[in-house]
Amino acid sequence: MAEQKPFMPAKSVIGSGARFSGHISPASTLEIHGIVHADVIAEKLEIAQGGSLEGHSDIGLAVINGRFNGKMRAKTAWIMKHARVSGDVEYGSVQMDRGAALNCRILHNWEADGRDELVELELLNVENRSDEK
Amino acid sequence: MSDVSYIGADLKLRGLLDAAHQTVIIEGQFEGEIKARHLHIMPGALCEAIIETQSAQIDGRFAGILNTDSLIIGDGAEVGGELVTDAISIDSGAEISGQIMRKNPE
Repeated sequence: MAEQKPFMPAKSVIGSGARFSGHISPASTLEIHGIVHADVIAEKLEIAQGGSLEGHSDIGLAVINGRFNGKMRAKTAWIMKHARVSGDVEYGSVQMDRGAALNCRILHNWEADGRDELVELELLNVENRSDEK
Repeated sequence: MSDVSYIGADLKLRGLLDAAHQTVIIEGQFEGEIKARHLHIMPGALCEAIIETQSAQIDGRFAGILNTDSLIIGDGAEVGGELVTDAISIDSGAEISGQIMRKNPE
């Protein structure tokens, strides 16, 4: 098993036509083609066209081309043309395709990751730069 | 599109997975209830569940209740619980404890 890991990237799939509800442990890569009611923590989450996720999620890279309802925190979000998003989305950076439907609160640079501090630091640097030299 | 559900080795699911017309492959851990057309519990996987499928193959560890039409138990499998099946094949080396019953006793 341990030998297999380098050759088989850990990726999990909820197939189309499948429904899952319950609890999912933190995942590296999760693909959702079916319907999932669960909280998700993953490095990469893909909600494929026809797929649906309801729940809170904390994601590194989120690729959404299906339905999402709930609260999502994503460092990077790619919201594709078949996406339908409702709830809350907090993101570091976002790309959105024409056709995507968002009915949600969307917030850039939430407090996690020190991103807000970074912005403040940059502002301070801009102010301080004139003082330097 | 993918209609196979695959639970990777790093993943642990707890809950209800309803994929009555699809294939489910478990390489990680699952706890709960599964409905599937075909279920494969891979070597190294751990599954504690109540399962209803048309066909199943167990190569990993399973505990619980399995209700299926046909069942294959591989040589590294560890199986405990209640197996309700019409047809069964068990490789030498499989560890089984529990009950095996015919699905439709006369």
